[in-house]
Amino acid sequence: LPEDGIFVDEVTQVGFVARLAFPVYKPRTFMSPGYQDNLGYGFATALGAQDARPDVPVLAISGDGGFLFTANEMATAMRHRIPLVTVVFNDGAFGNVRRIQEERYGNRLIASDLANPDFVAFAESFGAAADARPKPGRIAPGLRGAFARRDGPRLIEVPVGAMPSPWEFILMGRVRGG
Amino acid sequence: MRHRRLGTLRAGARGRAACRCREPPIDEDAIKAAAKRLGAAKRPLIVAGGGAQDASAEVTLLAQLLQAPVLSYRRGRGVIDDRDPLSRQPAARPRIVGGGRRGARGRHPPAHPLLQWGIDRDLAIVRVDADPDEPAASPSPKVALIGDAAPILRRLIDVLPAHNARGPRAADEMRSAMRAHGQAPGQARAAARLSSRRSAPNCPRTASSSTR
Repeated sequence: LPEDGIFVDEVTQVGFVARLAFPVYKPRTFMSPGYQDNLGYGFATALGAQDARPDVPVLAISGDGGFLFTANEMATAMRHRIPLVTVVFNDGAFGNVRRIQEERYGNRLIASDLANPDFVAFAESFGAAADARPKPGRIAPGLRGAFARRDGPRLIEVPVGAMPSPWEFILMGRVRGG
Repeated sequence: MRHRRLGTLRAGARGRAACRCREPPIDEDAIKAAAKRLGAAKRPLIVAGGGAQDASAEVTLLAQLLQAPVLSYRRGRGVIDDRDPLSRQPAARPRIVGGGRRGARGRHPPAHPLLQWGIDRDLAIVRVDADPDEPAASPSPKVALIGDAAPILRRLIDVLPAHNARGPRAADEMRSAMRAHGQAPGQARAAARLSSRRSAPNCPRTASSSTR
């Protein structure tokens, strides 16, 4: 992503890490929700950002569950030829919730697994470009190519498994006031 | 109100030139109190939230004057260039958390640090908020400044050298050093942007070939 490109995170594992680790060089180039951390805001927000700033590439990252909150807006993206690039990390679950249920609630799983569409077929059914499951080494070159194309939306599906928790790096220990 | 808000949105998207928003008067007593607190602070820390997105140059220069790390998270990311050695994220906490009096500022600071770190008598908080109700809803600040972050911080930068234990001429020296050397990109850019903003209240984006 160029220095002045805009990154839109989501309430997803890679998004949590991005808030700490993704390098940001300029104001208003890293979009993130407030304290409420509203799942599902990302894709639609990124469409708005890309439409407002057609002069720079915008990258949205989503988990599969978060993307499905507003996935129907792919129709809007096609209708207005919004050249947003969206990476969907697909683990087949609300992964953060699922891990919490596993670790804190004795693996009693409820409502955390997803019945997903074929995301590539879904995007292509709107006429959007889509990349199916690129190998890890091909993701970065694929993104660079996607940023160079400005004729419409592009979805990249990245299948992932369960990820290690990032929360030990986010939740900070008490050092004052007992 | 609707037109004022629309003006703000346009300013955020296209630069501040179109914004004709009326800035509230700056509380000079609070500025002086903040300058005294920060100038005497042993280990000041700046916490930048989303409200500081249009005060990047000011936050960066203030950080230089105080030699204070700038903590940003979520909506505060990008306020300070991550290539600046004073830029920090919460994951770097072992390097920035410790005893000693500190100041913190920035509108909508991330709730995590204050909630999780805890508060004691050695921590003095200086807040800058757009919302006048915000200070009362937060852990008691020693100084509360209300208004847009950029003009408030510009005024604070003007007043701070007289109270800054790090040297009353630190601001001039820092600006001169940044102009002369330019070996610290984030610092030099901050000084240049601050200088241009003083003459014209807009801060357009510049193209760059760097990638991540």
